[in-house]
Amino acid sequence: MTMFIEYLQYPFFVRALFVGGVIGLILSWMSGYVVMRREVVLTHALSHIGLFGIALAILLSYPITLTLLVACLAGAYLISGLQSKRLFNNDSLLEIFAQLSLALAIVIIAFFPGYRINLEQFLFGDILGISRMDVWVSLALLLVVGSVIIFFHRIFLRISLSDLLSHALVKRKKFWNAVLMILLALMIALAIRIVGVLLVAAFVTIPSNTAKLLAKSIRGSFILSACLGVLATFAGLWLSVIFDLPTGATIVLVMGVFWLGAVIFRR
Amino acid sequence: MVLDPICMLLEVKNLSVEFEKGSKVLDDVSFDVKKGEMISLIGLNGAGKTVLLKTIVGLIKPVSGTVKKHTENIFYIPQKIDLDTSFPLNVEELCELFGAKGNYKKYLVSVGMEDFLHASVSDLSGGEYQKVLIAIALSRKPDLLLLDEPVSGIDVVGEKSFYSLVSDIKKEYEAAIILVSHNIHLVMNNADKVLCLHNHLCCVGSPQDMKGREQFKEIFGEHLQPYIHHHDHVH
Repeated sequence: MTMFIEYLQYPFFVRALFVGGVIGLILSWMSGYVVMRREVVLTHALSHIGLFGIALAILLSYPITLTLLVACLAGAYLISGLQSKRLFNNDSLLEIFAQLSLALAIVIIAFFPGYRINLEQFLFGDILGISRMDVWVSLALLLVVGSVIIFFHRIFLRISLSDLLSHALVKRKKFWNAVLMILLALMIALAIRIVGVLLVAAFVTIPSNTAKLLAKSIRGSFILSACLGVLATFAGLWLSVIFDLPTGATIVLVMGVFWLGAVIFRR
Repeated sequence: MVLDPICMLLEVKNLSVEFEKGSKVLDDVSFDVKKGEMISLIGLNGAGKTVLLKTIVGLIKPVSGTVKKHTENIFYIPQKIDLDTSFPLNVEELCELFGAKGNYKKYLVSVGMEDFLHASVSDLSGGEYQKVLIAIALSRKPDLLLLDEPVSGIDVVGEKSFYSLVSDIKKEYEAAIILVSHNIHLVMNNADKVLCLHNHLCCVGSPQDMKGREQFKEIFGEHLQPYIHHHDHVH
């Protein structure tokens, strides 16, 4: 604990705590919508599209964060358009996007001799390398995404819980589905910086699946999921500093411990 | 007879739906629904009953034809609900989310589900679930209620009391109802109009009219046995 407090003197660690906390909070809340919609694979697809965005940024010397954001948003738009055409099963469509994006990213990155070094921070995350700009972006996200979620939670919950029942009640359902997809794409693009492409899906899968085992109501499951996301991020950061472990993976492992605890508790 | 447009809730004209080119699930279906009317939609599995209801509410786009709604207050209760019941959702939360706020409790009483307010949705039987959904629908005071095989998860006794509940709803709340059902006896007792669907509308009429029709007898037999649709007549 002393070591953890000592680390609070370092600005990079405080930035990591703040940005990690914000992303953990929002993504773990959104985790409820994603799990209800049975669209966990969407996170997987968006994270791989993010990797393609990173590869493209390296190839074209574009700003990485911006290209990553644009790639995730464009991917979300494309997926959303194809989903509405109902030509494929949803899981097949998402997996096609995930695999094609990954393949494209690998081919693009192969053009660069030093690609492995560049890529590692994006595959496994680099929470301790967060800049001041990232802090401002996270603050803006907290305000924008957080406000949209708070104001329109009821709509998001309705369209996530039941497509059939919400049809009569939610006007412009396509629009709201698109809004939810955009918010998710934004959050995933930023979370890639923290836990990396390979582990970002855990943020959207584990907290809600843990909370629903312990909560007594839907509202309770959302609140608990968000709290668990933040707690796992802080605990993962602390443990990774003490034991010199990879931070993103440690955060996900803490989430895994929470989930296992909830499974044992429910038995 | 010219229908009073004020009483008209829904006009379906020449509606066709196909999922694969050349294979029509609905073929040139036309009918209308007036205020307070109870319509039974009958037909074999795969006859297009659910597709027709989903097309009416806009979940499926037709390849041709029109659905003219004179009210937006239409509530569809599907045959199978796509809810993830692994979430800790109770009846109160479900009602607050999909019913009219502060209004649903009296409708839970009217369907006899007031004691289930705090029950988990995953613990409800098929019949209890349908009653909760009806209470939710009623709380929104729909002009037209679409019920897709609401008794499929209910036993024979429950089925009778369910139909009597639907009858009461029609009388008390003046909602028009389109009810999809397999139970011909109960359908004949409760409906104002019967639509017999086999991808196209085989016959339409009041229950008494229908009993006398040759096409209807072909399908259901003289004694209204549960039917086998031979479908050897020409349309």
